[in-house]
Amino acid sequence: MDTQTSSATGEPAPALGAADAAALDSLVEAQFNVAAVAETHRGRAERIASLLGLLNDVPIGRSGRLIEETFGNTLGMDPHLCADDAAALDAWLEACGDAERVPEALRPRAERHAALADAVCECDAGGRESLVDRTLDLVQATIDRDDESLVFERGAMRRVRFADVVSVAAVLLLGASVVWPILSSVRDQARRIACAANLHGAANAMSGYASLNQNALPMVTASYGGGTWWNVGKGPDRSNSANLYTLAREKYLSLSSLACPGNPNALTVPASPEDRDWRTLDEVSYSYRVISGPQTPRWGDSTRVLVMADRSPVVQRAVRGERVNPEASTPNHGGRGQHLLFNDGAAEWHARPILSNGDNIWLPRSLERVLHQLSGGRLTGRELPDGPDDAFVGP
Amino acid sequence: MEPRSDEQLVEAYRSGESDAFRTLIERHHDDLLRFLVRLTGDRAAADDVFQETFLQIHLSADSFDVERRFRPWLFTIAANKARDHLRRKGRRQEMELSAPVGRAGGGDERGGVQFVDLMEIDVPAPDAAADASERDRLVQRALNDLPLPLREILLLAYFQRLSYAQIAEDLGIPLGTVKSRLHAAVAAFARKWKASQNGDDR
Repeated sequence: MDTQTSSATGEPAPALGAADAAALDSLVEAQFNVAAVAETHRGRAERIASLLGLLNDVPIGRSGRLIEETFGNTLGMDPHLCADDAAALDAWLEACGDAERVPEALRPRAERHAALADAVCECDAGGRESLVDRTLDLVQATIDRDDESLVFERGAMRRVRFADVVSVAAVLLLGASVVWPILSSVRDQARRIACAANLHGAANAMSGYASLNQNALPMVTASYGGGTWWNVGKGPDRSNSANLYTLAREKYLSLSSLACPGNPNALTVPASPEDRDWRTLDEVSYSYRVISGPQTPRWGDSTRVLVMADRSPVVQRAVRGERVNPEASTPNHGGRGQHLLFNDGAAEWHARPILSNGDNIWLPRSLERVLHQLSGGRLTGRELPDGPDDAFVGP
Repeated sequence: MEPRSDEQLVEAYRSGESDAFRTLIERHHDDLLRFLVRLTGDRAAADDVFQETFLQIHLSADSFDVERRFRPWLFTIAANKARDHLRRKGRRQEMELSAPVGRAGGGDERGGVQFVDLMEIDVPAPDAAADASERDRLVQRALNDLPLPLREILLLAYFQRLSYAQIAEDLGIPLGTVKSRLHAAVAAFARKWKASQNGDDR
């Protein structure tokens, strides 16, 4: 018998206790003759037989089939289709579910089968985009993990003898063309690990800043907001990156901690101690939540929001007046994905610049909506997040 | 240009065309998700199993024989994953027969234990005008009451609408077993559905 049946409420179905199950087995072995059940199980066997209605209502043994059917029905075993419905079901399935192709005599019954099947097959399958993306993210995360385990295994080589390393090196040299993509992957992994460490460092720095500034995210002035935020190096009150630079200026971290190894132009040492911003957009490795004055969320808020990410490819192109691909990933990691830092301190790798709720991190929601409706759209550098829950970073 | 078949998409994905995988997921999203919602009885669980299924497809893509059909392979993997999920879901409650059992055991309140008649599918056809969410709930309730093996074969047959021979081949079980199990599943489901239509479902 099957005991996995779920109840209507979705709760696990009840199963017999061990003693009752043993009594039931004994009852079946005794061909439902309670008197023949071993004394230790007889009390429970009587209750089972009583429950099944076998003692009072049905003469035991007079109809083996009746008992079997009663027993089966009670415990959820197979009922039987009548002959015509069984034939109609067979014909309907042989016709691959097309009732029109079922012989006429069976068609009305086949149509009932089809109606039942349709009722079963119709149910809500909404949330398509989100589930497709989450599935792809899961697959990508698995691929990434496999890559990382490759790095780990290579690290283990340091523990073997020098002679072994030389042997392996010889093999690698011989097969350099084959191995090259793997080495390239190892370099990418190293960059990615260093970048992730940067984000963890930034999380610590932001936490420190927040604790001294009423949980605020780093910003140049308390009233910062408005203007064109992508004017990097044009004055601290005219650039969103100056807000992030505040962490380095106020010594919460070193500037090198805000330099991703995947950005060849990243600045690791301030050009001048007086600097309050990076000098050019190319030097900026990480995009930072666009600060919008009082609407800006706070560090550690109960609402989880994105505060920082690998640099935006959208802003890079939009500044040059080029068409943008809002679904492109950061150039820091070869377009394979980006690290994101949230205001709860968590740093995560995302294969796509889209959060699980469908929010594109490179664009404010208003522009996402427009892009959705139109085939194109342009950032002007003046957009602000639509609200505290709108993930939007730049430059 | 004709859209590529599922099998061609798997082949393309194996050759490194990652977009082919997205196409496969999008193409089967609705049907597979509905199948899993019905099988697990829970949308959140169906989401999880959906993702696990495609992860398994990714992991096993190299072993897929492109001479075979992709869709039955996908649904069979999904059914296996759903079964694992339901197994993991938790321990079943134990029930002592000496405890009050109410109508447990399939008895009929009016006439004591109800004996099995040969089931006739004389159930009312689902009414299109009826409240869709209510109908959805009743269908799910009827499905949840089926033992898992019956629910599984019923859903595989309903969602795929394949011949017995194809189902038998895909599941690797004898054709006669498929037939008898599906007959039992349809009869059991029809009985539950009929009960719900008569308003005497639990």
